[in-house]
Amino acid sequence: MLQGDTIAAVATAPGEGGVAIIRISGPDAGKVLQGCFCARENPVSLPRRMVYGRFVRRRETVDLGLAVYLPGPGSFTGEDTAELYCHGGQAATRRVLEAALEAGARMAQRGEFSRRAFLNGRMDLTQAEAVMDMVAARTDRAAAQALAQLRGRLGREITQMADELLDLIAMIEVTCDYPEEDIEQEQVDVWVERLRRTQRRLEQLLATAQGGRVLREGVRCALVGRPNVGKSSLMNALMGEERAIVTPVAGTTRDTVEAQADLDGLCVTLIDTAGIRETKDPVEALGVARSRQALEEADLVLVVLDASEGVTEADRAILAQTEGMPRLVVANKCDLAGAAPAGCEDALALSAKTGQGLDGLIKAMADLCGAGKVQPGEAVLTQTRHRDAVRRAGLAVGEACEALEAGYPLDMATGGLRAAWRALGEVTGGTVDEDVIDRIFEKFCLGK
Amino acid sequence: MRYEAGEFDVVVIGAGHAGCEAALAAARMGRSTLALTLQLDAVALMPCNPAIGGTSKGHLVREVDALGGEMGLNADATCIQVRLLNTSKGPAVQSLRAQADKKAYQARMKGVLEDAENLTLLQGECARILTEGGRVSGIETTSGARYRCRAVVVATGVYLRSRTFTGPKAVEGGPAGLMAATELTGDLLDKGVRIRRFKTGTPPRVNAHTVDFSRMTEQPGDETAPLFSFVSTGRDCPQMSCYLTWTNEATHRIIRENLDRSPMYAGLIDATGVRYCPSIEDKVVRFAHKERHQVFLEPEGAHTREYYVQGMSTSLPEDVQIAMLHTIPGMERAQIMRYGYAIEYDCIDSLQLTSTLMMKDMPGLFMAGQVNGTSGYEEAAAQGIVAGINAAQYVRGEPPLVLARSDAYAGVLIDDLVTKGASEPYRMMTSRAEYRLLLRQDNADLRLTDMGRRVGLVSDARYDRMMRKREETERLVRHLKETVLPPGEALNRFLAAKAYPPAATGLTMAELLRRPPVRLAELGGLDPNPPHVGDDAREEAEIQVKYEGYIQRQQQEVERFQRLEQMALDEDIDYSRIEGLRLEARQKLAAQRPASVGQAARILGVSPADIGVLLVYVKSKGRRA
Repeated sequence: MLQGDTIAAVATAPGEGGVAIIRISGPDAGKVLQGCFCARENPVSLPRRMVYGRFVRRRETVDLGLAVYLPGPGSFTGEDTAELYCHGGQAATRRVLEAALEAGARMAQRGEFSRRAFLNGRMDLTQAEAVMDMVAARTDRAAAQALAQLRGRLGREITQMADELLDLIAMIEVTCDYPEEDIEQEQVDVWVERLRRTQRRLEQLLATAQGGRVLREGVRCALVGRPNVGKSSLMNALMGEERAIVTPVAGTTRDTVEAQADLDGLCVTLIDTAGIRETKDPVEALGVARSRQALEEADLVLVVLDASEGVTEADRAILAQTEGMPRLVVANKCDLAGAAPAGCEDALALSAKTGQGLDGLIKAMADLCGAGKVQPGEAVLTQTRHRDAVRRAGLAVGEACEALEAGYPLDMATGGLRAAWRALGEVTGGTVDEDVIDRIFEKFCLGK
Repeated sequence: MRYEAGEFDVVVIGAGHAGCEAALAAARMGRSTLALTLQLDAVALMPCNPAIGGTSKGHLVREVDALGGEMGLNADATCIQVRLLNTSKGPAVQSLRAQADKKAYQARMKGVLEDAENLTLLQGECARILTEGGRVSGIETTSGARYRCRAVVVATGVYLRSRTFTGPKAVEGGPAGLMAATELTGDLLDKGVRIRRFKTGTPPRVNAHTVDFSRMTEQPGDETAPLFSFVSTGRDCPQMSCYLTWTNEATHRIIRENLDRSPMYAGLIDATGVRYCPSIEDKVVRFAHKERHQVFLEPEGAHTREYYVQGMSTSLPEDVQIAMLHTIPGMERAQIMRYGYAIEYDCIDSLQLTSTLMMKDMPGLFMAGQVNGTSGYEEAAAQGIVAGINAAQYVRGEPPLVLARSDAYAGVLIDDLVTKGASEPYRMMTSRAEYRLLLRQDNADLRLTDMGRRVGLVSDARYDRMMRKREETERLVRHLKETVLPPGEALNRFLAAKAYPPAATGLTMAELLRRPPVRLAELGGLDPNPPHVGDDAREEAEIQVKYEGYIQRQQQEVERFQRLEQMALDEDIDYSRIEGLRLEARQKLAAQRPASVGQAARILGVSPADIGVLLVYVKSKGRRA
C-alpha cells in the first residue's frame, strides 16, 4: 500500500451542476470526513452507507448533503476513501472542498487518484490510462472506447496474447532445459502456426491504432479553397452554428478560425483558413501564410470548390498543392450547379446552404482518417506507448516465425518470443521473467 | 578447552563442491588457506545423482574451468559416460553431461586438495565464526581449536542441522549417513543471519545383479562428445551405459495408497521442497493424468554394482520403496542397497549477500553453495570459485570479481540469489539466462579466462591456449567474411545439394554459411585458401558467423542492460524519503540496498514505476552534485 498523505479534489466537472462530488483518499480519509461533516450517524462506522448531514468549516455549516465512507482496499484507489455529495455550483463546491482541506487533506495533483489506484494494484496500466482518457473524452464514442478499455478489454486481449506466447515459450524452453524428459510436444510447424495466429491478432490490433488515436485525440481538419467558395459556410454547416464570419466579399477570412465539432462521434477540429491566393494586402498575406501552415499540420484536408463556377486556374493550383495529402475534394453550392464541376468529377457534391451531401462528407471524413473502422467497445490501441509495444511484439513474433521456418535452431527463436512477450507486458504493466519458469513447472512434470 | 591452533588468510568451512573450488581458488591465488571438513572421506561427495553437467549446469562447469577451477578437469578425468545434449536445438542450449565415477571423482579431488600449495586440509567441525570490530577474525572448532583468519567462506552444503526422512523414521544427520553440523546455525543466527529450512531428496540405489537390463532401453554415451575442461587432454575411464525404463499404473497405485505414510504428505516435513527435482510421490499427485514416468538407471561407478534410480526420488517407507520398484519393468526382483530419503537442512536468506557473495553486514564472511539455497553440484562449484576468489581479493584489499548477468551463467545465478532470493532450492536453467546466445559453453573461455587471469588464478598454459583460440577465431571470421566464392559450377553444385537455386553473383563464405542447412565443415572444398586454425576456433567462428544477426541483437540488449547496471545507488540512500516510491518498494530497497538501478529493477516488489522514480532521483542527484 502506498504510504502517502490524504488527498482531496472535486471529482465532478467545474461549473453549475445539481450535485458536485468531492473525493478524499488516504490513510486519514475517515478523520478528514469526520472533521468536515456532522451527522446523526457517524459515516465512518457505517462504511458504504450514504449518510445525510451538514458540511462544516470552522464550526460553520457551509452546505447540506450526503457523505459515504469506503474503507480500503475495496475502493477506487485501494486506500481509505470518503466521498462528499454537496450542491453543485462553484461557490458551494469550493467551500466544501476547503472544509475538507482544513480538516487535514491536501489538494490532489492532476491524475493522482488514478496514480494511487495503479500503484496500489487496483488497476493495471491500461486501465489507469483509460481513466485519464475517460476524463478527457470529448465525445460519446471516445468515452465508450475509454470505458471498454477501463473494463479491461484491451488488457484482456493483450493478456490473452501474452499468455499464448508464454505457453509457447515454456514449451520451447522445456525442450531445451529438459531434453531427456518425455514431454508430449507439438511439432515446430504447429508452433509456427500458433505464432502466426498471434502475429495476425497483433497486426489487427495495431490496425486499430490509427482509428483509436483519432477517436481519442480527434483530428485536425483544414478547409482550403480559393476565396468565396464557401469554406466558412461549410464549417458553419458542420458546426451547426454560426462561428466563422460568412460574407460574400472575397478574402473576408483573414486569419484561421478554429472550432471543434462532434461529427458522428469523431471529434474534429475544423480550421477555416484564409483563401489561398497571391495578395498584396499585408494582413491578408499573413492569413495566407497561416493557411499554408494549417495545411501542413492537418490530419485531413477539405479542398472546397465552387460547383457553380467549375474548376478554375486557382483551384487547380490548390489541388496540386494538396496532392498526396489525406484530402477530400468537395464541390460546394451544388444546389446552384446541380453536379460536380467538369475537371473534378470525383468531388463530393454538397451544399453547405441546404445541408445536402453533408452526411456523406462526414462519413467520408471518418473513413479517411481511420475512425470508421473502429467499432464501439472494441479493444483499441489509443496510447502511443501501447501502439509502439504492440508493433514491437508483432515484429518480434514475425522474426521468430521466420527463424523457425528457415530451419534455425530453437534457441534463435526464443529471443524474439521473449522480446514480444515482454513488450506485451509493458502494455499491461507487469511481466516478470520468473513467470516463464513458473509456467514450465505448472505444465510439465520434470525432474530426477 | 580453547587453544590457538594457527593462522591463515582464508578458512573454508566444508569441502564439498563449493568448498573445494573456494579453497583451491584462494590457495592458488597465493593465500594461505585452511579447508575444514566434517569428514575427510566425504570430500567432493556426490550424495545424489552420479552426474556432472547437463543443461545449463554444463555451462557452469565450463565457466568454473575457464576461471581456473577444478570441477571440469576432475569430471573429465573420472567420468564413465558423456553426452552432448541438445545438439539440434542450437549452440546456446547445447550442454555437456557426464556420468561420474563417484569414488574416483572424490579420490582425485581429495588428492588435488592435498597436493595444492598453500592449502591445509583438516577434519573438524566449525562451531563459531570469530569477529573483531564487526569483521571476521577467525573460527573456532567444536574441539576448541581457534584458527585466526581474515576471511571465512561458509560452504556447509546441506549439513546444517540436517535431518533425513524415510517414511516415519527421522534421523538427525546429513546425507548418506554422515553426521550433521549442529552448532554453526546458532552462531549465524547470533550474527543476524536469517536462516530458512529447505528440503530435497534422493532416490534408492539398486544392485545391478538384480536388475534385468534387457527389459530396458540402453542409453550409451557419445565418445565423440567434447571435454568439460578447456585444458583437459582426454578421457581415459572405460565408458558405461545408462538404462531407461518406465513406471506404470501399478507403481502409481502403490504410491497413492501409501501417501499417508510419506513424511511430506503426513506433514512431518515443513521445509520448502524443490519443484526442480520433485519426488515420485509429488509427480504422481501433481500430474495425476500422466500414465507413466521415466526412470533412468545410472551407474554410480566402475568398481561398484550400485545403480542410481533416477526419477524415483522418494521419502516413502522402505517397504513401499521395495514394492513400487518391483512394479517397474526390469526391476521386478531388484534389491535396494540404499533407500531413498528426504533431507531438510538450514540455509540462509541469500538476499543478505552482495554480488561478491560476502554478507552485507559482516565484512570477511562469504557464503557459497547449497547453504545459499541452491541445489546441484555445479551451482555450488560456481559459487565456490567466486567466493574463494573474492575472499582472496578481500584479504589483500584487491577489487572483487563480480560477474554480470551478461558475463556468465554464474553471474545470472549469483544475481538471482542476491536480488530475487530463492524461495525454494534454486536450480540453474538455460531459460534463466536472458543473454544466453552470448553465454554459450563453447565461448566460456573467451568470456571468463581474462577475468580469472586478472585475479591470478589462470595459469600461463590456460591463458595462452585461450589467446590462441581468440586470435585464430578472429582470423577465421575475417577470412569467411572476406573470401568471395565466384559464381560457377562448384558453387551451384553445392547450392543445389542444399536445395538452393544457383547463384547469379558471387557469395562470401560467410553469406553461404549463414544459410541454415550449411555447415562450415562442408565448405572446405569451396575454400581456395583455408586458414590453419584449431578445431575449437573453427567451432567458435562458425557460431559467430552463422548466428551473427541474433548475437548482435543480444549484444545491443546487453548494452541497454549495462546502462542501468552502471547507474550506481549509494549504500546509504534513505529510500523512505524518496517521494513517489511505493511502500513495498521502499521496504525492499531499504532491506536489500541494491548496488545499481539495474539490480533494483530485478528485485521482486519493485515495479517499473518505482524504477522510473529511482531514475529521476539518480538523475536529479547527479545534477545537484
